[in-house]
Amino acid sequence: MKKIINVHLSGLLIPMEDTAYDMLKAYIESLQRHFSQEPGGDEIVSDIEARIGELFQERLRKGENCITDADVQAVIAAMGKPEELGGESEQAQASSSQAYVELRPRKRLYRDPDDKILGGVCGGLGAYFGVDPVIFRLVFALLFFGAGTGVLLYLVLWIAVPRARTASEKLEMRGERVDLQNISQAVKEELSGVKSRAQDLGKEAAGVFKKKENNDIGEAFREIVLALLRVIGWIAKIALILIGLVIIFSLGVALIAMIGSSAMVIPLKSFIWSGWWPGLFFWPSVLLVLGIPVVAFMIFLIRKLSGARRMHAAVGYTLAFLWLLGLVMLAYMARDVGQHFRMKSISKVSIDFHQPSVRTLYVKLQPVLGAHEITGRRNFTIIGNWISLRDDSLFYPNVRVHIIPSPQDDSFRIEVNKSAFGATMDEARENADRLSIPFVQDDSVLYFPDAVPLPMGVPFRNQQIEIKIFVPNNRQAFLLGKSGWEDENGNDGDDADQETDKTISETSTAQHWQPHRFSLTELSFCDLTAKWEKEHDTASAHANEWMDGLLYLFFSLFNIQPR
Amino acid sequence: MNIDNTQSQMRKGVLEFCILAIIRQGEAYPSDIIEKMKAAGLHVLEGTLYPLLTRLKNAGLLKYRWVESPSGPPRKYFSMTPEGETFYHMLEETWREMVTAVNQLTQNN
Repeated sequence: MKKIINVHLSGLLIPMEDTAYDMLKAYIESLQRHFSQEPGGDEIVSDIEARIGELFQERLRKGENCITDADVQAVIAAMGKPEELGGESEQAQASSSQAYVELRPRKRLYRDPDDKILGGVCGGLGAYFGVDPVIFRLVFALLFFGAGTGVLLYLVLWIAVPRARTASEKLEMRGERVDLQNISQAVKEELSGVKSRAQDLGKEAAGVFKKKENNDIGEAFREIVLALLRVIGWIAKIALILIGLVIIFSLGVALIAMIGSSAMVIPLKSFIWSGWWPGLFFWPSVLLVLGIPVVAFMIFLIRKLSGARRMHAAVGYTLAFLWLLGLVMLAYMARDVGQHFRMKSISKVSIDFHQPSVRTLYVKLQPVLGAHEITGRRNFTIIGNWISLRDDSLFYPNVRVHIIPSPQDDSFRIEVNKSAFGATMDEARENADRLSIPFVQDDSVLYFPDAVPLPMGVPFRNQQIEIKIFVPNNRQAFLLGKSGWEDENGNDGDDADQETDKTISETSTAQHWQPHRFSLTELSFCDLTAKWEKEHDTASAHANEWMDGLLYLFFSLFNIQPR
Repeated sequence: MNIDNTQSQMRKGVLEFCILAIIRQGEAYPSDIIEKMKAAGLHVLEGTLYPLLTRLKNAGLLKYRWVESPSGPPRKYFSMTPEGETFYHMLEETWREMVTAVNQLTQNN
């Protein structure tokens, strides 16, 4: 028993068996899908529909009561299945005389709707590589429990890989084996495409030249231009691919590095943001801005490699939106931070110290940055000891020393410029004034730390300390380097040098810096300085003049610029 | 190599040429074209005709007008444009060259 339904087919009323109708409907839908990517696809399908209607009408006129399954099957056989009709892609290939490619459909990566647990990704991968999907399911499960990366990878694949919907797509899914030969052939085809395009371009360009010079030289020139363009085309293509890969690779590395170090840098946040909420946005936005291009490129790569044709526009829009969102968030935070860097205040302070007994003043910057071993959880250094966080204080190189000749003075003079930023002038001044530079004097040697720490709770506003040492006539001042020279030239120079050397190095290594409790009395290098004093005194007593000259030579040898 | 595939490729190649040749003789609607091709002994899947007609029309080689039909909905009648005419002549030239070449190559077999 069958139900007869009346179907309106492009202006004709056709009585059909319901099963025949279902079959016809499926056929027309498959045609619609097949031609959906082609301009005028709707027109093609409605033309075919009209023709089918005509054929049915003919049959009814011959005396049939209604259209049966057999009639529909006959019509489908006469019209041809969608995959037999050829689409735009086939035409494009035919026009570039590569029609033979169509004979061996390339295997494509699809999601398998018939063999799925979540999205059919593993089923599709299994079909693509010709192995049991269980293997991929296991790999994803392990990745999930391993580091959670399996989830991300699965989601990317789910978005990037289209679902096999039609029979031909399912065939493609299980189609030809993907092996090295296929891949190399695909690459060759791609490259020959570039070659032919370059050749076309070459011919066109050569045509322009040929009009001007219609002789042998012109012909030779044409050949050269042709070859040149071909080479340029190749190089451009390869360069583009390489640049793309490098960019994506570095983005990926940056992302991984950011994620990896995120736990370490979190304590720094309290020095940058005043409130809790900008910091809350920071990692999500960095993740979006760096991560989205990586994900997008992965999707692109997967689709390119698997030869997927369809791409949901929504995926592109979503990725673009997320990326912009990340960018806006970053910009907002940059603005928030920038607000606190609007004003700069510099305050001048004079430092009282004893005039040295000799004519030369040595200034030594004591290494604070990276001088300690990392002991606690919250102690770490970033970028080669440049920025470090110890005992909840932030260290960064913020002390500079300038030695300035000042003929109008008759004694050494030290001036300290403290500078900092702030949202307002008052705030900036307050930030600057909070810094104090501790120093120790040992007659002719002045010890300064090479960094003044910011304690927890004091925000980072690029606080800087500039120490200006004004040197009067007939006096000298030298800046001794940070920690450097004991490693570099332990055995250099003569005895006197070595002596000096050793003493300084001992001083700098044995000295113990405690940023919070830094004061003159609590420094623990008193006994060492006594030794230094003794030796220095003897040296200066014996040969004040040549010692200075020798030291100067010594410093300049190792690029320590006395100013 | 699959013989069916090769055969259908050979047919597809000349299909556009044949369609243009039929339409050139006078306005035609798709069913006419199919009948004429069948009568001449050229068997192709009917479905292949429609995409080709639409593409030729979109390329400006063909144009069409709606004609009321005594039995059913209006029909699309296709005719040549001047561009179609030049296109046809180029195809014709290629066809003649191919026929001569193929005949020459196959006559000794």
